[in-house]
Amino acid sequence: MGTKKVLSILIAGIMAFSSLSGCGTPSPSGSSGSASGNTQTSSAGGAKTLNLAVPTAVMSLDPLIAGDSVSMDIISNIDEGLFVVDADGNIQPGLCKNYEVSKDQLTYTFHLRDGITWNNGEPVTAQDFVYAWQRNATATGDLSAFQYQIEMAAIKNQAEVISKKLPVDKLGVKAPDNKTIQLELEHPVPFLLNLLAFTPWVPVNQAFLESQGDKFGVTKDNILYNGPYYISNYEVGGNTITLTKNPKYWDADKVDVGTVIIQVISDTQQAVMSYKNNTVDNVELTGDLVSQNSSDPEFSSVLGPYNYYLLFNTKIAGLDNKDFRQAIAYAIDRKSLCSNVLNNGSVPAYNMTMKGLCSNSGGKDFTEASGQYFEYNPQKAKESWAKAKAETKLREVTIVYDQEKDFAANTCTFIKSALESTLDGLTVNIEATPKKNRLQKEADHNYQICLHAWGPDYSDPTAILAMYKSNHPSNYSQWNNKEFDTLYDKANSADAGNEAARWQDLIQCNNICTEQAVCVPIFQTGFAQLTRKTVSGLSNHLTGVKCFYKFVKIK
Amino acid sequence: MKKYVLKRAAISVITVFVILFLLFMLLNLMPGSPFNNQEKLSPEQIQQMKEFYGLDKPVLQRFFIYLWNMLHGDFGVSYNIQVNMPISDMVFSRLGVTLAIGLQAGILGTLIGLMLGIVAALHRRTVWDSLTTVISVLGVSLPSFVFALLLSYFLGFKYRLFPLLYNSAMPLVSTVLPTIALSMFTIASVARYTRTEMISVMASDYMMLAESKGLPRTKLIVSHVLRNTMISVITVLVPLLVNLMTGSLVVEKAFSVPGLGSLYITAIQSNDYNVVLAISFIYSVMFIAAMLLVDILYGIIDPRIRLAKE
Amino acid sequence: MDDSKFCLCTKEHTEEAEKEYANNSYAKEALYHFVANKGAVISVFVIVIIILLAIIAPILSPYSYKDVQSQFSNLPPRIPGLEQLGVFNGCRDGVNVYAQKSALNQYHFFGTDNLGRDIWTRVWCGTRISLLIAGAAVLIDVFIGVIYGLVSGYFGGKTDIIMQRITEVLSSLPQLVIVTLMLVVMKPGLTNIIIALMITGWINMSRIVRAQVLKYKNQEFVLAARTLGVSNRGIIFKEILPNTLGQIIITFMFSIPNAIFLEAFLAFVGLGVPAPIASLGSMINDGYKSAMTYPYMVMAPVVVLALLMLGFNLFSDGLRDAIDPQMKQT
Repeated sequence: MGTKKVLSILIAGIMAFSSLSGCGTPSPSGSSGSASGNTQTSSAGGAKTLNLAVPTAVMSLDPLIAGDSVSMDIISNIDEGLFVVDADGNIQPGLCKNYEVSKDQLTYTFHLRDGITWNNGEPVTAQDFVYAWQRNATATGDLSAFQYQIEMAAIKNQAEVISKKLPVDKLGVKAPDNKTIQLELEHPVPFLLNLLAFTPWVPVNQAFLESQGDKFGVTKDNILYNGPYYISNYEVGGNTITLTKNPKYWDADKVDVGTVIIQVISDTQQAVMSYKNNTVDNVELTGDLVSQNSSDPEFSSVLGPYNYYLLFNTKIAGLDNKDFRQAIAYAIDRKSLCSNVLNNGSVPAYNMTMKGLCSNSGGKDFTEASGQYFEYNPQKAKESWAKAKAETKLREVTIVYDQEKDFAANTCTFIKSALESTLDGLTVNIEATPKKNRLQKEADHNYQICLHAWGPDYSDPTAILAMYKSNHPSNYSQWNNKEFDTLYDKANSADAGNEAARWQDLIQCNNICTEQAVCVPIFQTGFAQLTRKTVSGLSNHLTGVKCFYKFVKIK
Repeated sequence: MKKYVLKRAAISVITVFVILFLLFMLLNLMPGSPFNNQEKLSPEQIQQMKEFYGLDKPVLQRFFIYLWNMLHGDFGVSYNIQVNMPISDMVFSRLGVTLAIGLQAGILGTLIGLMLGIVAALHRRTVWDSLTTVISVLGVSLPSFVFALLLSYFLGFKYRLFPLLYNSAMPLVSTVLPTIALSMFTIASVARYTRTEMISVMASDYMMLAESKGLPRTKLIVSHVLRNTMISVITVLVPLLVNLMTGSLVVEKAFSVPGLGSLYITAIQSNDYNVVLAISFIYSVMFIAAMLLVDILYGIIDPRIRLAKE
Repeated sequence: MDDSKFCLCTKEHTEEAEKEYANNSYAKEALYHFVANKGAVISVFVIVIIILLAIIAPILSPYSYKDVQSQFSNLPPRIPGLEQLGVFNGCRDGVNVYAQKSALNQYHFFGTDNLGRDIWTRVWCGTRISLLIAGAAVLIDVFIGVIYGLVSGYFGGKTDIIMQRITEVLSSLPQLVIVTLMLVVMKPGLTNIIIALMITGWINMSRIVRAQVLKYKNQEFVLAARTLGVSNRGIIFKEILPNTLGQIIITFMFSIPNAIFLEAFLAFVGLGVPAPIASLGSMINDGYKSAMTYPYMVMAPVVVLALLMLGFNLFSDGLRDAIDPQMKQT
């Protein structure tokens, strides 16, 4: 029953991507998707309340600072961008009424809706979008966490503007009038609309931001709203945030839920008890609570966005040896780990990308189309280990993991025991450290092996594969491979407009770096939850914003 | 008396500054960097951020800048929990609920503990006495998170007598369960201590004298036994305060109370230097203030102490 | 005053009085008082049994504390003999999980954890670690605290004033804050937890020793020793120290449960011993997350911790009453 649900969600995702890639092909000034398909509207929506539980508090309301999913979800629901993603994963128009794409897929023209305003009465203009995107391109320090989005969108002159070689007005985004945005790209980007539905692309009112100074986005009074909701209650030290329906929102009639109350509950057991007490309408399950509740009719489980893998520092003597890494890869019984130890809906991972990340127009999942490597095989592990032993002197390794996550400790303990029992003479130490320290170690290349997790920010293989390019700042493994680099660059230049060729290039990229065991993929996280039967449309998208509450319906 | 109080107060103020210095130096050694999204930042971007927040200056200079700002009510801003939020806002908005739960637990614990201790001492070797012994032994032997779990499961979840989680709309009712969980240790140690103390007071020579003078039992207990017991019960309050602090961290986590303790744990885990520093400092100040208060109180109640300390 | 308050003096009374004033050695008398205290005697048994189990149980157990058997994860407790009575029979919701996982030849007295590790073995290994941490931290505390207190109290004057200011500042830092910060700066590990625990732990000991020294240093026997030309060191260690031993032992015993508690607290905040090593605290922390699903995982370490705390508390109480009836508080 659980698997059926997973499948249906996956299929929905696949359809979403195919409809998206459909938009990529030149179509004469067509609006993408249709917003008219939405069913019964409720004018007296104010009475309906959705109670949600989140594990952490809001970090910031500034779209360029908010790096956590809780903050991003809230920002995307109070500030709408050009596009939104509905419950089934389809791209829907947001503030964008319609758009045109040039034949070479390098120029996009977006037209804004009429009657869209900020809560201070000012209209939302094309300049607000241009300013927000320029702000991201020129951001420094704290604000620059999402700068790579500009890079991925391949906006014209992005590299020069980011490195400050060109002034910001040379960035390929213009507002010819108040209602029109023109975007020029360096090469076709098939996943552009998907990017634009993400939080860092929402508009920002320049005059307001400048009037706030350092305080922008700090509390609910330091930000402007244009979306379906506004924050009606947000205490600085409180544990509750209340979103209330925005009556001035352009699509207010379609917003079913009048109030969304978001409660911070850090302990999952407490959250589950609150769910059973009817205090919250949805709760994410972790660890043992997943199997305990799996027979509940309100239970559902989908695949989560993260792949957990062992990241090797390939510049260290011993770990630069392919046989050494492959021996480790073959020695781990991922199935047993997922079903006996984690037991939370996680599934074994056999290559670098995750299932449900994206699919081609034929509906084929990228990860499933790629090669599947390193099925548990102690025999092969021993063979590789014998070779590695002859070639290297390394006999003791340390795996670093995040102390914040209890399943990380269990996973590493499992791996330690598996490696030590299969690979004769290998000693494995495991070390828990705060996540920040692990990231620091990775950035300093001061580690041997890390248990690393990476989730994609948009639906495209490059969201994962970019990290293995030799010059990428996040290439912590320090691995480089000419063949991989060539293929990757080809996918983003010569083959960028050709879906089939690009697809093949990226699959090959995935296969190369998996086969080389640059990292050993272990498992893809599961996302299990309990949702009240009366609530529908409460989505949990793998990439980007998890849920746009305007699509949630309560019976 | 005035001289004694002034002297104690002066020492406390100096101690506060020494502690601030020590804490600042210690935090300077904290590994890792405080910024978010580190995996997506380049080394240049991290350097820019350090300059922006003044983290590239020498540590002593930073200390004096910090001290100066602090004296003006500015504790800096949060680096990553609530980015750019002034820490004074974050901390003081949470201080109230932590203090409320701590005070309630302290008062409730002392009162119930006293009552149990007195009843047990007056009715030695009865059911009451055994009950008190069991409670006091359990109270000091079980960690507060075990009580928290039991309370939230039975009273919060199964019988729904009290809200399971802290709800800022009804602050008083929400703090009932955390208060009970936190007060267990206080109840136990006060009860145990009161009982022993009262028994030894009742066995003392002056009690025998008072008894032989023919004082009625009620008066005897109220004006002699209780008073003398109370004096020494105050001495155990300091270690109890310490326990209330550690306990509050755990209990706040268990009931999702938006207090200082839960913020402290988050800040430690995410390297938010300024928040850790500010809360450590506030904890120390509260602790010093409480010790000062107990010292003064003790000086007022028992003149011998005052004289000895002067 | 009514007559009922008086009675005739019998042989019994005189014997009691004689016994009271009999010329017994200090140690013998203390032992007599201690044995008379029922709670204290029971506590000795509890502590001895726990320590014995901590030493022996992991050796006798067919499992090791770090043996991962993921196919046998989350097994409920099963004890031979008792399973016939319908308790500890390996059943969950009426289903024998051991049969389900084809593990009928195995007996896990306290069940297994998420990784299929035997909780019985882990609890006793964890007890070892908790006792080790507490014992080591407290022993170092005694060492530092006694010397500090002796020096400060004996020399007095400026030395004393400076040393007392230092302890005053250190004792104003809440132990909780210091210990957490130390562990954030250093890596949580066995040694570092011990260091963090002892960093403020010795202050209490030094205070008590200093008070004792002040009490004895102007007494006649010290004066006599000094007149006879005994060195300062000789006076401190040979004359004064033996007199303070009783107090030192009592303080020592009271510090142990404190250290165990603090270690458990650190584990709860996520600063416990590194996996796969277990301590009682870290096991409670792990089990707490599964408390609603598999309550036995948290029950076992909690019960052992509670018994241990109980034992040490009662034992210290009894010891205090026996050694120094005047001392009411540490």
